[in-house]
Amino acid sequence: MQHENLFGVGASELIRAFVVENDEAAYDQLGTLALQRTPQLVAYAKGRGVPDPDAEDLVQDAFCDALKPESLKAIWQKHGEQVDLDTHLFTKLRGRVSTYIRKRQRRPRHLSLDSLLGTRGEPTAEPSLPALDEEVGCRALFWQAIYDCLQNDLDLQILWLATRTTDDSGTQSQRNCLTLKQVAQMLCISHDNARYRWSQATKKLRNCPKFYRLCLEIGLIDDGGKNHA
Amino acid sequence: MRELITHEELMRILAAIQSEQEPSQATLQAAAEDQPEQPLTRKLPEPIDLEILVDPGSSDTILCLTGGEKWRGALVQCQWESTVGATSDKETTGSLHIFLLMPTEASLGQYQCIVTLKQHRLETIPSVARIVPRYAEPKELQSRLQSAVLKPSAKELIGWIDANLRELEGTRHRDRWMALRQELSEGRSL
Repeated sequence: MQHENLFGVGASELIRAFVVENDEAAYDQLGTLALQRTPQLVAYAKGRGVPDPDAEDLVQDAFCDALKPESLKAIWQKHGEQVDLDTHLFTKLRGRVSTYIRKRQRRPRHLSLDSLLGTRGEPTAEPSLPALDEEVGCRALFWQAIYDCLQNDLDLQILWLATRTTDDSGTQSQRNCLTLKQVAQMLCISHDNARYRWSQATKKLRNCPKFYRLCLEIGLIDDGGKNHA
Repeated sequence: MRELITHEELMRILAAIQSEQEPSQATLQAAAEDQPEQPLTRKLPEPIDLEILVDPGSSDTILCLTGGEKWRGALVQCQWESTVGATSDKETTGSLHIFLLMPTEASLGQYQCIVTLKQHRLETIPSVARIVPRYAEPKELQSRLQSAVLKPSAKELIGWIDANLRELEGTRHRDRWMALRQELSEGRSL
């Protein structure tokens, strides 16, 4: 049986087909989809300090973990149609990388979100958060999740421009971002259009299950049980 | 329905994702070894998929953009927000913006454009935006073009509009693009 070959929406359908209908073709397609994420996953592992050949090995191990039938059944039972292959792969790799680093006793200094932003606060609950500013692959996953949610180049650019700092020397606590008026000028759209699209894009993201799960996985937000369905 | 993420949380998350402001490794190394300044670089991951390099010389600045398929033939606006002292021969303040056209031919799967900003010494990574013809307003573009320090020729811009006419089919402002094209062809717009 052929299924929609889109990562995210298609992947959840493939997982369903394999778990519920024992569809072997769907399983093969899942493997193909997972392989497409190799560059981002390798980049993530390397960003955590894993040397090149080991990073690729860890990604292969993570694939094996993630694509085990019992593992796919478990995430299907847990998330149902909201299951997300990106997050599943990333979670498996994250575990592999953490074990690897622990064994080598070369665990990099971890930064909480507060320290990243230069603000004070309690340490985050999750002790093994990756340092975002060291995680190229992690960033790629984030922006991909944002794009998957927004499905629009212009909205992605608005979000990107409105949240990046405009000088390289500014600290995160003194962020100096473009205003929406400046963003509009950059994209040659009207200020009203920029404001409307920003509002709609941020609303979409705040309600996007995939983006939410990724933020939870990376420890940028603490669910605290408040958002469980 | 209750939102999964609050607005404040989302802003903090986006700020963290954007925390890529540290100078590149080459810059840090040069500073540590007291070497001449190295180019500033920033790599924006997919789906943005763009690498920006700024190399400030003694009086000029070289900007190099390298992007994936999305950047093929794109009209791009780059803006430096703070350019105090940016001009080599006089003190200037305020922002500075340029437009450039990415090539339509790839080299090793990448589209690369290199420009030199004469008489401008710029030491930060600019904001970079790709103009999306379907949504951009021709009048806004025209206004920005007029105040740009560097821009493509009228002929190049006409070529860019022509290349995007298919995308503009059915949009309400296609006529305005055609009007801009006409002005450019008559040499009245820039």
